[in-house]
Amino acid sequence: MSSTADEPNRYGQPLPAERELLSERRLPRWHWRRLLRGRVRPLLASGLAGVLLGVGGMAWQTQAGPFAPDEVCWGALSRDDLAPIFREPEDVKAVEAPVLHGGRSMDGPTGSCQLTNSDGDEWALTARVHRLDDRAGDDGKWADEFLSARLTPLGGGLLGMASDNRAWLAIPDGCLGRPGDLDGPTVVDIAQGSWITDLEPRTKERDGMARMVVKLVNKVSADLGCTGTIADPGERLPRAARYTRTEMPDALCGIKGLTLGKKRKPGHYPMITAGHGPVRTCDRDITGSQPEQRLMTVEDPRLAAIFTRMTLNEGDRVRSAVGYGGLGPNLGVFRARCQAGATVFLVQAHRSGMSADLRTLFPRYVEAEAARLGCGPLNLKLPPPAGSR
Amino acid sequence: MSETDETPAASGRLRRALPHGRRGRLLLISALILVLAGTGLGTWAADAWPWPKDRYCWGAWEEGSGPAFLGDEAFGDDDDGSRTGQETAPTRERPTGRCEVVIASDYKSSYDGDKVSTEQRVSVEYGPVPKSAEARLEMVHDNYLGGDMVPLPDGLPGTVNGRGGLLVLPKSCDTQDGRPTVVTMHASGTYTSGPSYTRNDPADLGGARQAAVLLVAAANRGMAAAGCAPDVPLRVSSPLYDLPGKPERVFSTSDDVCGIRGLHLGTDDVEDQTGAATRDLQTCSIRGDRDGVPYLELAMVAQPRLAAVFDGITGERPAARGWRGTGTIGEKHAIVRADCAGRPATFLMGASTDASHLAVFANAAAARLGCAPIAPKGGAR
Repeated sequence: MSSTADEPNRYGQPLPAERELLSERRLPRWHWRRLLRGRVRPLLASGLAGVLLGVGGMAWQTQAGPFAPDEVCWGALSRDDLAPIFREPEDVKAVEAPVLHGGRSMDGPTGSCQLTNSDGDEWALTARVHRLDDRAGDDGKWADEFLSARLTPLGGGLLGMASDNRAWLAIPDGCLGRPGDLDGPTVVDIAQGSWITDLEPRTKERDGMARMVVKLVNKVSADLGCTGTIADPGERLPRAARYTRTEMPDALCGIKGLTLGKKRKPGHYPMITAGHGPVRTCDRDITGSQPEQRLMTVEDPRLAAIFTRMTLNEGDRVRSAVGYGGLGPNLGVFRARCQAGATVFLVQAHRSGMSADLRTLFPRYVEAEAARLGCGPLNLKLPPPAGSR
Repeated sequence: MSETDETPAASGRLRRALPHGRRGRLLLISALILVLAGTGLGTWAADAWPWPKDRYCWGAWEEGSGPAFLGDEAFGDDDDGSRTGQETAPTRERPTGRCEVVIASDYKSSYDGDKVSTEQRVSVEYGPVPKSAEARLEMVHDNYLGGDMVPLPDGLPGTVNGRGGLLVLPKSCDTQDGRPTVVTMHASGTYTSGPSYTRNDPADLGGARQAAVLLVAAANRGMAAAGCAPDVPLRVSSPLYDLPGKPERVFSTSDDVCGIRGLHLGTDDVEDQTGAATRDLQTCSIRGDRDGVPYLELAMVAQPRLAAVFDGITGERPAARGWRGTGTIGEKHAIVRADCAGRPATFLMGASTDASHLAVFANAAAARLGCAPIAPKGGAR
């Protein structure tokens, strides 16, 4: 601390260096002291400073100009978060529709965000906020893609899954309330390119997608006024799903006793959901537009709700003391109440000439899976075969 | 540079900086008063009065910090309702404590002019679980393991809902004979309008997640007072991810309840509700569909720290002939503990004395967890 400039230095210490410059006669023309001399100039200067501060503060407050956030998709993802997916995250462009949640809307919050590389190549990533329900009329496309065996459950009690090109996670019940019997949960999902490929999902990219969907859900929930942050799932995720090369003909899809009674093995290895989660899916031959065969158990009652219409309408009625369902030429579906709540068992075959196999497999599959979930015994009464009527 | 050297210069500076004339000084003082009055008015208007706010429950909860019962909205239309706190903090020597916030208000209803009086209460208790099996099961199972509760977030051992919760404290707070210490919270209250209308109107904790935050805050203060706090305070950071399932009507006397084949009560005056069905915790309550009277309360606890509250009361012998593990089937409660999928699982039944219900439930839960049946085939008939 130095004393004021015009006071003599009482202790005879050497003058500080800047003291010389403060003697006014030697000031250069544009020195600030010179600019502040006189009556008007200080006023002008302080006015200018005030304006600058005000503009800066305003820009900072409204996050405009140099203070504009670089986060994309409703402010949820930083450029670093895009790095696992995009080769040049700095160049990624975002087109966003804000997440709307009006009091009049019966459909829950909706919003979307598309990220593209500025060179317009195929690396587009789409994030959506939407409520799943059985009225969406997408012919089960969401379930085909997002409940595929390629996706790993996020674990930790979360209602969500991820692969290297798809991921989804439900907004917490504590935020929007628990969905009703006919509504599915409101989810954030992200999709990148075609989901269908015969390659096993890459674990590193899968982790990136899982992290991204958690960040999106955290931001969307916060914007909806909900508290709490879901922790990064990265550490606890198991290895991404692989083909099960050890399948036995008497334990199809790894389910003991599930057999078609043939010695020969099916033509392709199945892929089975890795780890415990909201669904256990067994997909076979995921190369066409749909897996050739899918055996799926939807264990989370909130997710089971999206199959309500299918369970009531598809195929001929399947009867049982404790549930309901239908069996058609390429789909068998049954719903029962298990310990966790409503549970849906589904067997799909997407190749012609499989209906006999389906008819054999479906009741056995439901029975075996119900036993695994502790809600057996479930004995189905199948409708008479189509040819016998 | 020593500070004493600077003082004369500084005070001289101050003296010179102050106005010299009488008028100048007057002007300065009036300006100061104006500024102070303005700030005072501003803070009053913005409700940011700098006086310390009231705190409750060993200092854990601050007035106006979020949940309705700590804010002005708790008083309804009453402008001078009262919020009072009462507390006994636990100590090292006597590690039990209790605190209570009571909100009382009286006002004339703006709707029909009736005299309305409300009394709402939030109470917290800190202390080891009771020694006797019956008292412990009544406290823990009847109050905090119903189908309307969900597990606390972030893996904290305990349960919560919008009206209260239970948290099991870390091992450092166990008693010498090994009983865990728990903190419980409970909201209650009544609303009386006119001469004859009274209903339950529990204090508003601000939802289940806020309730978890309140419970954990009180637990941290309680542990600090009792001298057993962990190095890092307990914290709620995750959202409350799951809520309990909706109560489901039972339509016929032979309907299964709780999604378990062969579990039926022979009545259709009930509904059932499942709070959790995970590997750590499963709860299901069957209650009267009109009055909420419990018919059957079932729970399975496998999370180690939550299950520790049942240590020492599961007996040394099987609950009945042919049952796995150990247990007792008592007057109002039954408890069985057996190994299941690599760790001990505790199966509980309340509100019923029919051991066959517990047998069906335990076997179904065991099948779900992937372990051998607990009760012999045919139950305990």
